[in-house]
Amino acid sequence: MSATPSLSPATPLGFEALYRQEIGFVWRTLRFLGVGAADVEDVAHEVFIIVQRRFGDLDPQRSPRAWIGGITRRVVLHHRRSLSRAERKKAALQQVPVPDAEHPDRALSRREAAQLVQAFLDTLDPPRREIFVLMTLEGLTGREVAEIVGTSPNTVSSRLRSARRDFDRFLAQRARAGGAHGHG
Amino acid sequence: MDTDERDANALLALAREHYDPEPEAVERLLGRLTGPMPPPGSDDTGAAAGDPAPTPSPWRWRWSALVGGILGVAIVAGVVATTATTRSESPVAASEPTMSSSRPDLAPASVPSGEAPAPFRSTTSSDARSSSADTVVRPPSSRDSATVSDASMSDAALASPPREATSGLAEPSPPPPAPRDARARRARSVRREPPPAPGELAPEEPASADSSAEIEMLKRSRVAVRDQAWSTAERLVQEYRARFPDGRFQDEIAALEVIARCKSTTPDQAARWGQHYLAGGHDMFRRRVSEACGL
Repeated sequence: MSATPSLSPATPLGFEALYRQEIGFVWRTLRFLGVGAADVEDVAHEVFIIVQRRFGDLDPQRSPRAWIGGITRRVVLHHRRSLSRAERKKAALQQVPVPDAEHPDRALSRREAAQLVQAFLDTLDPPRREIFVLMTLEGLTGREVAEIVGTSPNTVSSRLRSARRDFDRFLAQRARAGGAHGHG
Repeated sequence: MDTDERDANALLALAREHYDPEPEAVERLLGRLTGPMPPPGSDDTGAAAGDPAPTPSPWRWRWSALVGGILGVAIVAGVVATTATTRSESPVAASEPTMSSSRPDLAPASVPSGEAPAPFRSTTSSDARSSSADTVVRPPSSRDSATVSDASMSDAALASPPREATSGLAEPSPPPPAPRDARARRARSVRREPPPAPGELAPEEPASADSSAEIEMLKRSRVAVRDQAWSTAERLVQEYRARFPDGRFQDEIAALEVIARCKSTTPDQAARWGQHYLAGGHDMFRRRVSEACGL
């Protein structure tokens, strides 16, 4: 966040620096909000095209992540609306795990972790999902998330508490199911 | 509880790591963003990829044609109304200038082939307006496919005003007594023709509109593939399939879909998609699909 004021919105270098700083956040947020592996690059492209076009509007006093988060959220909503049922099926097909070449064990655990988190996120309603992703997974502040989602910080924190509770419950259930499976 | 919390956080961190973009994807995307702009011809698809609410240029053209047509019809109606008022004051004096503008409108009724004479077209500057006038003035029996395709360019809102305008044009034209009666009878007979029944245009109009829409969708899919907007291409392909389940370009659409999918997935998966396509796809697209899927 401290790097924010140093970004000069008027120059192309500023855009590239912003891109490099935020691409990870955008990419992960897109994935956690349900954009499929096959679409994520194109959707991220859409996000950054808008960022590029509206770069001059970026207020240096404002958190660029919150600004980009708002754009990302709107693009995801649009993407979700335009995604047909058939495409969703196809996206699910394409999310069949692909072995990672570097460290098979670690890749497996990362993939499993991602699948587990996705499974949990799929159980949440969209507002709580957004807040859980932005705060718990991406570490944004309540104020930033409130700005992105367009609600009050109190609502954000109550939704986050509820989502966290559900997450703990989800993990406990999984652990019980795993234990039962292990014993059986 | 503390351990659970730690486990949960570790789990979330691992999930985050899994969803980190690959460095080459980051560079590729940056290249797409800062690379050369697409050529002006592909403006609409570029907008579709980047803008959540794209506005394709053909629609803009249609809107301008529609607005131009309505304005033109309104102007003609106004001129005719003014002329009629003048003529009611001095019918003989007003007849000459009125004839020069209204005679061509009556002429199609006396031309059995339904071919609008040149003066008729020269009096109307907008294509949309003239096509609407054609549709209205010609007897339904002489309505040919060209008229139908012209009519399909405009919508019902455009088709109805010319009917009023034509009646406005036909009624106040008062040439010398005997010919006027004959002409007026013909004009009335044309005006009394029932409006085109829905069944008359229905079999042809949607077909024409569908055909152009189908080609338009195919073109957009091609451009999306050319511009490497894979998700856009896939969305357009799906939209094509939904709108034209028996479309004429299913083969090419299938090829475009496989290309888009192959380009946006891992090499292994691309190879699978490609092999699946090559097992039964159209010969014409095999080479492109093979290349796209790395086969």
